[in-house]
Amino acid sequence: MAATPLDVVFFELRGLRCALPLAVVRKVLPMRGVTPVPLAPPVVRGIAPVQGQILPVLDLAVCFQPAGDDAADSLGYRFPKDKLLLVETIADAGREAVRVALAVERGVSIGTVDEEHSRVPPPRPPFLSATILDASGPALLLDVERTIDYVRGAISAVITS
Amino acid sequence: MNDKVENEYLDHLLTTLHAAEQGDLTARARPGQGPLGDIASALNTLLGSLEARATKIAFAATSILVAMESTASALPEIAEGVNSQQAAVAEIARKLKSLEARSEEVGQIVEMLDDVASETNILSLNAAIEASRAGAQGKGFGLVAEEVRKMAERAASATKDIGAYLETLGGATGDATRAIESVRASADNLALLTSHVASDPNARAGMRKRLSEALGPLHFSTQGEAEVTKVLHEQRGELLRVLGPLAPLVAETTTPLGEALRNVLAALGEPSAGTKR
Repeated sequence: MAATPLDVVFFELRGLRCALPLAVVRKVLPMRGVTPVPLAPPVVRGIAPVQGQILPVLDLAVCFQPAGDDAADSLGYRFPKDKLLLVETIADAGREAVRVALAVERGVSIGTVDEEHSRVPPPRPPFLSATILDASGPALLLDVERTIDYVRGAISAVITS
Repeated sequence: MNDKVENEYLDHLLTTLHAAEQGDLTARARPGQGPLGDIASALNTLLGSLEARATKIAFAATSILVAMESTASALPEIAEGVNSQQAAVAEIARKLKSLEARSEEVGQIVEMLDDVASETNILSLNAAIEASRAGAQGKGFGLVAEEVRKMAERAASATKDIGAYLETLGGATGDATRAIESVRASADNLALLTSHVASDPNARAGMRKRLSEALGPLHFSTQGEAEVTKVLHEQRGELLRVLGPLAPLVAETTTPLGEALRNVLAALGEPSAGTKR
């Protein structure tokens, strides 16, 4: 559940309104120079140089596609006006901070939501922490730690298969 | 009819036929009796029919010559008009091409403005993120960043509209350019044809000569010639009746139409028609 009040960054993934806590979003960047990685799972669109670092570019939109859609289709899907969100997890005693770039669609904006407007999220994909609501409508709040765990799992699955 | 008289009458018929062969369609055989008289009567009927037909042909040919002469006298003016139209069409085509090029340039500028709007949008978002991190101290800055973001969105929307208008304009300009190119090709052909006809008096003179040669040997009765003259006179009178009242109106005008009308009236013999240059 979201804390009260929570600053978030809204964005869209294949037209679906999503949000991330502002605390983990470092920057918004234009989408440039993404290099696909052979054999990577669909959720990893590729790698890109971001502020002097080579970071994985995640395409979480593939996780929202209806069941039965061929994952290969999502590889051919490109947003007309993509942006990158530079996301960094908060380091704690057990884990180091992790930086990734998230490919998002248009309509990036900043807002504040409170717990009163938070609801239980849909069961899938597994990295959702809440359904939040503001004046523009509902949005799915993503848990960045669980998102990164999900991507790690997808990469491991490809390696071991 | 004894043999001598018959021979004389036969000679007379042959003379009449010979005259007709030479083009004298007014020649007629004297009336005679018996079978030779019948032949003379048939010959006279034939010659009369031939004369009537030849008179009609001569009338048509004269009309053609008159029309050809009036067209020939107007040819230089027509050629001049076609040439100036050709130049005007070429100028329009040049301006349309220039407009097309300018549209493309404006399109590139709009694209650049769209990029600037997109960059501004991203900058304002990052400013808003930094302002949020600063907490209460960054609130004012965050409001400014939000306003800048809204402005960038409006600019992006406006450039998108302009881009759509430019696309429509570009399509219309392309259509107009293609149409004017087609008109220009037609104007070029027309100018070439007109200048060829206008600058080649031999062609017209040759046609006149051939018509005269064809009609020259034929000799009509004065009645046929008088008929042709009468009809031509009537036509001239009719033209004067229609165009005469315009003479005072076109006397002082300097427009091409006015000058053309003055020339026609002068050719018809209208006394008040003067040439103003």
